[in-house]
Amino acid sequence: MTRKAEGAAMYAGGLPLAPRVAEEASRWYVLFMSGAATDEDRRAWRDWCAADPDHERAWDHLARADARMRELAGKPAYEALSRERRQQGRRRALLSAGFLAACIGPAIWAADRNRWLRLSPDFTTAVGERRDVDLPDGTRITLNTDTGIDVRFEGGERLIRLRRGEILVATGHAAQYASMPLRVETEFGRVHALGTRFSVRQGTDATHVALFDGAVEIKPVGQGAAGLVLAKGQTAKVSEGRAQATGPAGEAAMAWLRGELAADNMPLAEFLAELSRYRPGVISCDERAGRLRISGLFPLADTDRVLAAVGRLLDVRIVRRTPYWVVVSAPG
Amino acid sequence: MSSSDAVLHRRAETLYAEHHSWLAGWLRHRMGGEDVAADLAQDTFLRVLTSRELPLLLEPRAFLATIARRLMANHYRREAIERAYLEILATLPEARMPSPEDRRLVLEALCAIDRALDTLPAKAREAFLLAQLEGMKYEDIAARLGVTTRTVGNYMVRAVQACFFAQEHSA
Repeated sequence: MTRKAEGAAMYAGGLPLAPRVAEEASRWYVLFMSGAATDEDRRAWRDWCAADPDHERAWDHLARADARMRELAGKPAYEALSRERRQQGRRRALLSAGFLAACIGPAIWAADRNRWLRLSPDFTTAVGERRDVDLPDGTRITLNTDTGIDVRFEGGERLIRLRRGEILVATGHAAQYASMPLRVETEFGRVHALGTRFSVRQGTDATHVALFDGAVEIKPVGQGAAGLVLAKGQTAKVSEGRAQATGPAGEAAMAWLRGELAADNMPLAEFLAELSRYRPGVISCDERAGRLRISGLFPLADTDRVLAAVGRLLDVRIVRRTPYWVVVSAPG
Repeated sequence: MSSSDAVLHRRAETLYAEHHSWLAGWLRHRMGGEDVAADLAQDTFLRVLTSRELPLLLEPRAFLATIARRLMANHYRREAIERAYLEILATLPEARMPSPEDRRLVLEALCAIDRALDTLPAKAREAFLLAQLEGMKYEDIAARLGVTTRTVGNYMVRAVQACFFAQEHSA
């Protein structure tokens, strides 16, 4: 067990990195930060990045760590780390001397998942936006409307944390990541992927999982909660301490990938709740209108047009109080 | 469970049964009877039991005390950082107060940086914090620390490696 930075194992993107590459990347980073970099430096840096995939991986890792750091920047953060150091320096030195003297055991492996916790998610989409994110292991994640995820490749696993919204994951198979399991984590549980394509959607009281290819294992949070292995084409709901199968995946589970909202005899209240995920503001409807049924494929790119279509298909009145407040009611 | 898993499991059980109450007492004594001593005893065993390998221990109590000491130091560091952070926040106008959730995230991140920079000389640490968190220029940092700009650059290179690339190997 050592506390020295020199000789400590270096990692980038969850995989070991040669100390030499870590040092070179750090030198480039510091040069750019100093503001003294010339155009010639920039050209040399581009060559360095292109010369080796490890260089690129190291730089990518630095850029992300830098972005996380920037979110912390500011007086309170600096003062918290700097001021108390001055006050506590002495006592601490004594503690670590005692600690080093007593050091006998092997390295205790304990990955610190929170190491680079940040305030905003790594990747996001705005309301109505859809976006693909490609990860270094070949995994592609499609983010649906109003979605936020964090990606951590460290501690021997590939972890995707779904903070809000909905994603489709198509797992990648780059050889160097083969031994690192891929998991999607939400407030309610974890989905362990075994070479696969699946979607995860975060609701207020549960996470919904739909599996299109391969296999996944779902583990709800909570001690002793039973896991669930999901079969292809099936869906599941994960809530506090519980995962349950919820039947075959319907058309609706995939439609958003094509930018469509699919409804098959869906109650209008549910349909409008879905639609409102894709537009800013509120859509409200009265109880009688909410019980009407609607079917069809609707383009999500223009939610005003969808609302107009609803008005044509069903006997309802649609009133825009403001662009952000739409009221749907059955004529009484 | 494979046979080596079973051996490990039994070894862990024995360790817990024979030394848990001793460790809890040891921590309570050192921490002046604080409630947190019981949590740290639990955490210590958690570290040991979730580690990839559990060696045959000649001096199990010295081994446990080593880990417990480190956790205790982390605990006090965390408290000190939290205190300093909250004191600064208290001087801010109310509108700029971060939410409790944001405060928790910031504290987590600050403690992680603090641990990563733990190995560096005081001036290198200070240079890194001034550059990264205060956005200070290298020339100004050099003047403040009484070193050359070039030295600040060298400090930064070491700190960037420690903070952004080095993996933590112990709690």
